[in-house]
Amino acid sequence: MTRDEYSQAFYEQARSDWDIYKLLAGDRNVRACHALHYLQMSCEKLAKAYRLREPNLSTLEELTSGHTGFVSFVKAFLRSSGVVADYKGKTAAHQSVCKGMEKFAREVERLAPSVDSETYPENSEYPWEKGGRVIVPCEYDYSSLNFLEQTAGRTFLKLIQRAFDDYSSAA
Amino acid sequence: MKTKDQLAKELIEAHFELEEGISIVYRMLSAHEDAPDEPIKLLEVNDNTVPTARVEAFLFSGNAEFPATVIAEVTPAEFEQIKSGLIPLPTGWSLENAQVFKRDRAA
Repeated sequence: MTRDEYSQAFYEQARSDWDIYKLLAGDRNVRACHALHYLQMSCEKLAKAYRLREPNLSTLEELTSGHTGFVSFVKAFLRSSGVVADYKGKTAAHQSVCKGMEKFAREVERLAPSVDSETYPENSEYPWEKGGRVIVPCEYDYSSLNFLEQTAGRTFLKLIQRAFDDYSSAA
Repeated sequence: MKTKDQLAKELIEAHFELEEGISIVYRMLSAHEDAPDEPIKLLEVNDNTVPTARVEAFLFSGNAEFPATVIAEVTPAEFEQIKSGLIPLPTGWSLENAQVFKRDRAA
């Protein structure tokens, strides 16, 4: 298997996860953790798909073994030539978007159980302990991710959608 | 029509404007740098990034104006580790062959 084939495979799985995220996020009968779990998985795989496109970079094993990389991806994507061209002459707006999106990307990345688990045990998959209680993901409200339902969150989701579209348009 | 060098400089200047933590940018040059499909490759040293102990670089497609770009950023401490060989650069990247762009502190 070539890196290109793996990159395309990660992209397709990420896209499928993304579709399921949108499906679950729009269903009020589904607990929040399930949609968020798919959002986190989709974002992680999308970042890996982009990394695998560059033939001179990390080993496949290194990429597939970790859950981080999405924050770095979002920061780099926002500085890619296509996005920079879109914001030409609007530096203040671009700076504002960059700051907000990095924060949101970090919140999404932390949804993976193994990421930053000591300081941020809240995740979308496994129960965790807080204040002497065991918290069940399907009963948790994920207030730190309320931004997804607000204007800034929609910008974040549009950014992810654009990253999917840009990848497929280059394929 | 702008040259690849001009476009790379424009992109780097935009990055300095966007992210105040970037102090220095290395534009990596390959043996095939003039080839149209060879991306602009940037390693950026950024005070405001999170250390990962590796070089996480991403390839982004080009458009009608810009060629494709590869962008990676590291902390100043990670950059020191790159210089001392503790963190490897991607294959084909070399600080010795790179163009160096420093933030204009007076700007």
